[in-house]
Amino acid sequence: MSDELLELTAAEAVRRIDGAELAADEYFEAYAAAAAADDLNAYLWVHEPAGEWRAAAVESPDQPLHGAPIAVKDIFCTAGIDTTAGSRILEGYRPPYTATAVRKLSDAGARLLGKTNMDEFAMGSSNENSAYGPVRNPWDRECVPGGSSGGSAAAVAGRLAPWAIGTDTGGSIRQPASLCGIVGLKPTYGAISRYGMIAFASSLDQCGPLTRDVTDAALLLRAMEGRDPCDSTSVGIEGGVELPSREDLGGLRFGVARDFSHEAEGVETGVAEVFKETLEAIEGVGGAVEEIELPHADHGLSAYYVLAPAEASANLARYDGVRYGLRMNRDGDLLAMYERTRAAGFGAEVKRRIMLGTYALSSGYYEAYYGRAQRVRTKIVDDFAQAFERVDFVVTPSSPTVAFRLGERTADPLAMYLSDYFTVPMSLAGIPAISIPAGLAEPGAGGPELPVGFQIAAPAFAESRLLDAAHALERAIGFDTNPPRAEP
Amino acid sequence: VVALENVLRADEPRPSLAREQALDAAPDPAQGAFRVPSPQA
Repeated sequence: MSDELLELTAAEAVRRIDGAELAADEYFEAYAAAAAADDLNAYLWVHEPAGEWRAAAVESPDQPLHGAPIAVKDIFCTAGIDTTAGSRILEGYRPPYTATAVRKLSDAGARLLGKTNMDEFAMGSSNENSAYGPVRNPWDRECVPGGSSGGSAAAVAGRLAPWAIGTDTGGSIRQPASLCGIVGLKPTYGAISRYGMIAFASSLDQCGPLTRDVTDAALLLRAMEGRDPCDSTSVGIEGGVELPSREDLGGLRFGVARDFSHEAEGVETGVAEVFKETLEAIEGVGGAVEEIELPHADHGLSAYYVLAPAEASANLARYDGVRYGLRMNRDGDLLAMYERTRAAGFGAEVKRRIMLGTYALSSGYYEAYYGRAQRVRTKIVDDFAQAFERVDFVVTPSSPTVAFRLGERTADPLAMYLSDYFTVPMSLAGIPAISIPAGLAEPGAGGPELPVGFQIAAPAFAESRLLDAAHALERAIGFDTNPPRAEP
Repeated sequence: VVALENVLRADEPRPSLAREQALDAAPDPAQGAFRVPSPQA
């Protein structure tokens, strides 16, 4: 019985609860049992049966999510519940308040199932930068789930959560969704409040859903979007979010930039094949595929790795051992306390980015690095604006490769950064983009077939249109999101 | 006079985090404040 429950999409389960065909508690308990038996290291905290979050969930027929369980990336502050952002420096930290996105889900009737593992401070593309150990990909346990929202993606794909939320700064929702064969949406910058979301790069960070299908993503987005007085950059989505209903793509134009898609350097053959098949699937249900140009997209990654570390170096200055988190100090003065705390609390990748960012912002270099990267960002914004004059959507593979093996890229940060080649430009432009599973392909180095994601980007605040098109394409593809069961 | 509305919200005092809550997660709170080592220990 419970195995069958775990196969339902969240929207379907919520519909059954609403129709009194399924008890909300039975649904929650099925996932609570699955999450407690987590063998992917996807969770850092799983709900306690007697915890106040359980008790606090008041079931009301007016709440659209009807007591459904939700997994939340450990970057979101949850009052009274450990929130680490995957870092030793926040080990045991219990925030005094809850992030707006989580509070809104709770207000809509969702119940907190667990906090998911992640790359430390969301810096990484494989979840191997977590201070609490890597997450395993449910499709192949020797492979990474992607990152930084790797715990959320693995939990949803591995049937340890019906759906989850994560954050995306340069691809941290879309890339793990792609590698785990599920749907991941990065909304427009400003669609959802960032209040209570531990900051990495404030001009890029955005919260979004990781789900089994597009309808589930729309439901979560609808519950979370909105202006929040606690985040001055939040504006919400005008007109709200409509649930997708489209069954064909008639009259819609999909733009492909030849050198920024399947023909780009470093794209695995299998990924390129699935991408081309998906373009045919688009045409098969009435969509038009047109060639476009994104002349500056290729420079997105270089600009991103100046801008994001620069912002991170400023945001992470707050971890000083004074107000919360780790403090290392035996006999030193104040400066020694800061230095020892940060040396012990941060992992290698976080330190690398703080150093890169501090350098890029230093006097005399600011204009040459940060200033120039901002100008590249403007060029990329213009590229998309021009493309959207000709087409409705821009499509790319979500990631150049399928899931790679644990440890394969940890020694080479540049190889790791290339995982986000196709997702970074949309983050820089602030526009919404979704990754949907499009098929299976063999890894470049051989081995069993793994999921391939297809990315669709739309103009700012066009989430309803984006979800509608993704829904129609998802139907046309008919991907089975259930990973093969591990041998017992 | 220009026909523009001020985009800033009204500056009204509101309650914020209580002192005890703010100090709750501190590694070394003392006398209602955050205690740190001397700059010249």
